[in-house]
Formats: sequence, structure tokens, C-alpha cells
Amino acid sequence: MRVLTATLIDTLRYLRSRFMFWIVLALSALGAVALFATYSFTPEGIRFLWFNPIENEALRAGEPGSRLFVLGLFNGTFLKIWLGWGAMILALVSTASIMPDFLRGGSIDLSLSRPIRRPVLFVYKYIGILLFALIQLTIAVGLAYLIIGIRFDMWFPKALLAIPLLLLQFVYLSCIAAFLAVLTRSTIASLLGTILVWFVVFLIQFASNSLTENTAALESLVQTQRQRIEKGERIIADADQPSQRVIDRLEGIRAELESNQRVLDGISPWESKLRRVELFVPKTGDLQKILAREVEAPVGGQFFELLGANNDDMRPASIDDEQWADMQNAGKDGSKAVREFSAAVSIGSSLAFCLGLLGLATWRFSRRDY
Amino acid sequence: MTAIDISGVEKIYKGKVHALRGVDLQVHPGEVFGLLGPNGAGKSTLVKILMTVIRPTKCSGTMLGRPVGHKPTLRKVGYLPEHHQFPSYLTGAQVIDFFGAMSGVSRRERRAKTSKLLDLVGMSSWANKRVGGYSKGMRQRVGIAQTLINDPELVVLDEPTDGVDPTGRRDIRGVLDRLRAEGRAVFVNSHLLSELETISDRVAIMVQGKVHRQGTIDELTAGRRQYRITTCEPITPDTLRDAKSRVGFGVEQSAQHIIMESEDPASVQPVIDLIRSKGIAIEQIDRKRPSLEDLFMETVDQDESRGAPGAAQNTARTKKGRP
Repeated sequence: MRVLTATLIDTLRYLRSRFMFWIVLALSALGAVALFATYSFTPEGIRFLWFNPIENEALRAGEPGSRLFVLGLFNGTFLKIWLGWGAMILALVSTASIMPDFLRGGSIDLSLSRPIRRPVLFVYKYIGILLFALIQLTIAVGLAYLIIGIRFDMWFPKALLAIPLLLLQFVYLSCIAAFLAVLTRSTIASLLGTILVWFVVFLIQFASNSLTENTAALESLVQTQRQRIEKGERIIADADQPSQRVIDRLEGIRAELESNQRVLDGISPWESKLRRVELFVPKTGDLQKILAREVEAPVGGQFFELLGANNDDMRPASIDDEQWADMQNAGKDGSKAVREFSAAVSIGSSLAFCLGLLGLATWRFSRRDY
Repeated sequence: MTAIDISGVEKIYKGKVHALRGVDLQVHPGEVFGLLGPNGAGKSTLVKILMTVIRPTKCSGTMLGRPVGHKPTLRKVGYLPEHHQFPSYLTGAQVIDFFGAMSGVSRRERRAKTSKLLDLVGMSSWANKRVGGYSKGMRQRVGIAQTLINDPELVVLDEPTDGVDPTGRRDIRGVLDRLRAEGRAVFVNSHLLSELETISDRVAIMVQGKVHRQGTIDELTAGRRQYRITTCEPITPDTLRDAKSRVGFGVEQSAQHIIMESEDPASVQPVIDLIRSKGIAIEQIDRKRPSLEDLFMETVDQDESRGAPGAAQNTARTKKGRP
């Protein structure tokens, strides 16, 4: 315990001496103030700073829309864009040199010659690295939580889940950095390697999510189209003289079904393959989705719908009401399929990846000569 | 209990570099032991093995009565590595406190000792300034102070006077004298021969991964003492011949010197009488023994003339900046 405390205090002193630590903290505070303290909800709509209010029925004070608007900004902008990407990259940059500096000749000798087993030393050092993210996240999320609560009297205790969830995201990434640092003893190599792995993981998740969404949407569409064909066939069978319009429409649906089925057959195997690959990588993108689910924040288009954007504006002229409704429903089913995943499986498999990587790093650290 | 008692220590690095070839040595409590050798001899590798920084290929023996590599034993050992790098963001006092905690020293004890140790190495006024602003010598002083925070029975110092000015060296010698007086064993690894000669009770000379000589300087120079008589005028060959016949052992002449290899002062008297009887004035009589440098150079030369295998490999390794 004494050694762990000393290691944590040492890391804290290290972080305090780093300019970047204060920059990230200041930017997070600034972001929280800018996103949650620069506007207010009025009986007419929303008012930015001292400007005239923008009239919007959904965003009037006391309307559920105002609550969703704040949650949308909190989850989509503050957590996802700033803390999930910007601050996360800066945190990686700030902490990237901790492990290589620790492993440098003349420095590592001082630590290894103490009465501490090597694996313990390594794990303590890694815990020290997590301290950076913990401090930053606690202050940033805590500040945003307080500003939202005090200014709008909206208290979202579940929003505080962002602290452990984003810390988990940092764990996913920093374990890669620690592993690469032990292998290469280079700050640049470990940092660039981590960002590269993160990018690859992002691509895998992006591709997997896209395929899942499209597969689910197509499955839904195919099912709807089958039902429509059955219904059309019944109408034709029941009618003495079926209208040509119904027959043509039925043929059109059959052609669409065939085309959709072909696409579905093409992407389904890839979808399941990518799902399997995804199981073995840290799923950084899932954490924000878990949080959005927990705080019931508006997701994707919901946020823009809230602001008055209309999906119908995107409807092609050649598509009739029925087809458009089918496509809308299929799209919703696709989005739902992406959102509905098991948090336990996502976090559990990601943590298994991290533990495996940290285990390898610890083994390498313990076995090598310095 | 012997502080260090090891035998047959071997280390073969990957790439088949044979850094240590069966090192045997003993260090006793209350003595300053100097390990010397040329670059690439394996001194730092040996120290790192003792401090568990490097894993030996083969090692039998003990440190403070426990097998080498026994981690809890390091609680009673202080270590200053060569080219150490203390975290630049820590102050001198924080360095001592941090490494004290890493050695398992309680907070209360660390608090009580830190200022005393800084005082001991003359760094009290710099206690609260960051190490990043220290000179090399100041870092060495703080480094020595941190080796003592855990009240060690054995202190291992790798090139402790490296970069330290003459005043600092004198102070460090004072600290080592004090540690010896307190009954602690001090193991000093250095290539500064004059430094080691001044402070060491016993030394070992290591070349190409092997300890070639080990003992007190008196033991190592036993039977190698010389008397040198310097005269005011050149000595004639007749006088030299007479001198040789009177003493019956090696007498050499060099310009205005007669050099006799002898441990016994009585054996030199007949030669003095002879010179005086010839009316030659004696300017000076010196009793000399080989210096540590002489012993060192002799050992290195012997090793090179034997053409020790691995010499080239070890030199190459040193050039790469590895131990």
C-alpha cells in the first residue's frame, strides 16, 4: 500500500508538472461553460447569451425538448466529441511518456532495485497513468453536471456514469500504449501505435455497425415486402378482375424484394464475420452508446428532429408514401439493432483484451534485462 | 555475516555476448570494497545482477545472508546506479522521500531522516528545489542521500564521484568513511583508480568479465615493494656491481637511482654504506609500492597479452552504450 501510494503521489506530481495537464483541464472547463452556461430556455424558445430568443416550441422552458436538448449536447458533443476524442487524444499524449521514461536506463534501475516484485511495480505504474484520466474526467464531468443542475435545475445522476465509462475508454487505449511502450521503450512509437490501433478499431466498429444497421434494415424491409406480396397475392386471388395497377405494384415489390434479398445475402456473411472480429478488439465506440442509453439522450437524427429538421425533406420523388414508410421503419429497425447490444459482452470482451495485453506487457517487463 | 559472497556469476546476453565469466568475490561488513576495471569489463552488469536489474545466467551466493535476487533483502540495501535519472519534477527532498517509500520506509521515518540526509551531503539549502535544475554533482549528492534513507546494511555505489568536483569528492569520501565506521558494507564500482585507492579497504580488479585480483592493497602489492636511492651524481658500473654482490637480490640502476626490490629495510643498509664509502652524496631514499594504477595496468596488459576471448565483443557492446 505504501508503494502504491508513493507511486500515485509521484504520478500526480508528474502530471502537475506537465503543461498539457492544465491545458486539458482548462479546455474541459471552458467546454462545459460554453455548452451549458451560454444559453437559457425562455417561454418562447432558446436564448443564446444576450441575443433575442430563437422561437422553438420544442425548446421552450419546461418542455421535454429542452431536457433532451441539454442531454443531446452533453452526450453528443461534450462527451462524445470533446471527452471521447479530443481530451482522450490529449490524455494519451500527456501520459505517453510516463512508461518510456520509467523504463529508461538510469531511471528503471532506481525502481527495480527496490524490494518490490516487478509485476507489482508495473501494475502500480499503470494505475498511476489512469490517474490522469480519472482526475480530468471527474473534474470535467462533475463541472458539467453541476452547471446543468444549477442553471437548468435538471439533475441527471446517471450522467455521472460518464466518469467510469470514459475511464474505461482510456483503459482500452492506455493498455495498448503501455504494451507498446514496454516493447519499444519509445514515446513516439507507443503513441502513434496506439492511435493507429484506435483508428483500426474505429474502422472495424464503424464497418461492423454499418453492416449491422444495413442488415437489420434490409431484413426488416424484406420481411415487410414479403408481407405486402402475400397481401397483394391474396387481393389478386380474391378479385375476379384484378386491376393492372395492383399487378404492376406487386411485380415492382417482387423485383425490389429480389434485389434486397440479393444485397442481404451478400452482406450477411460479412456482418457476422466482422461481429466476430469486433469481439476481440476493445470497443471504444460502444461506451458512449451505453451512456446514451442510460441517460436516455437523443441519438443521431432524434436530436435534429428535435430542432425541427424534417426527414421527409430527403424523400425522393419516385417513392410513394407506402414505400417511404417502409423505408423509414426499416431504418429505425436498423438503428435499433445497432443500439441494442449487450453492455456486459461489450465491456467484458474489451476488458479481456486489455487484461490480455497488460498481462503480456507485464510478462515482458518482468523478463527483460535493463 | 558476509555482505556479499558470490561465486561463479555468469551473464551471457542475447547475441552470445559473454559479459561475466564466473565472478567470485566477497564483501565484508564495515569495509569499503572497490571494484575496478576498464570499460566493458562487466562491472555494471555485476552490480545490476546484485540489484536484480539484470537476471544472471548463472549465480550462486548470497547478499546479506540471502540468495542473490531475493527481493525483500533489498530493503536493507542502498543503491546509486551509474547515469541515474531522478524524476526532474521532484525536489531533492521529494526524491529521497519517494525512494524511501519504495524501499518500504515508513512516512514518519522518512520525514525524520530526509533533512538529516540532505544535510549530510550538503544539500539542505537545495532541498525544495527541483532536481531538474541541479548540477551533475548535486544530483550525485542527492543520489547518495537517497541510498541511505532505508538505513542500509549494504550500500552499492556505481561511479559515485562521476561529475563531482574535488570538494564534492572529499565530502563523498567523508560519507563513505562514516558508513564504514558505522559498520556498513560499501561496494563502490569505479574506474577512478586514485579515488578507489584512497577510500577502499579491499579492491577487486575485473577484466573481461572475470575478477583477476582481489584483496587489500597491501595484499595485492605484497613482495612488490621497492627502495629507491637517489644520488647527487651518477653511479658508476663498479659501484652497482659491488651493490649487487652485497645485497644478493635485484638491484637496478637508472640514471642517478639505484632501485632495490625488497620488503626489508635492513637489507638496504649495506648499499647505503657502499654509496657513502664511495663519497657519493645521497639526495633521497624512497620506499615505494606499486600503485593501484600500476596493478590495474599490469592486469589489463596481462589479460590483453593472453588475448582473452570476448574482448572485442565486450568493447563493441560498450560502444553501443550497454553494460
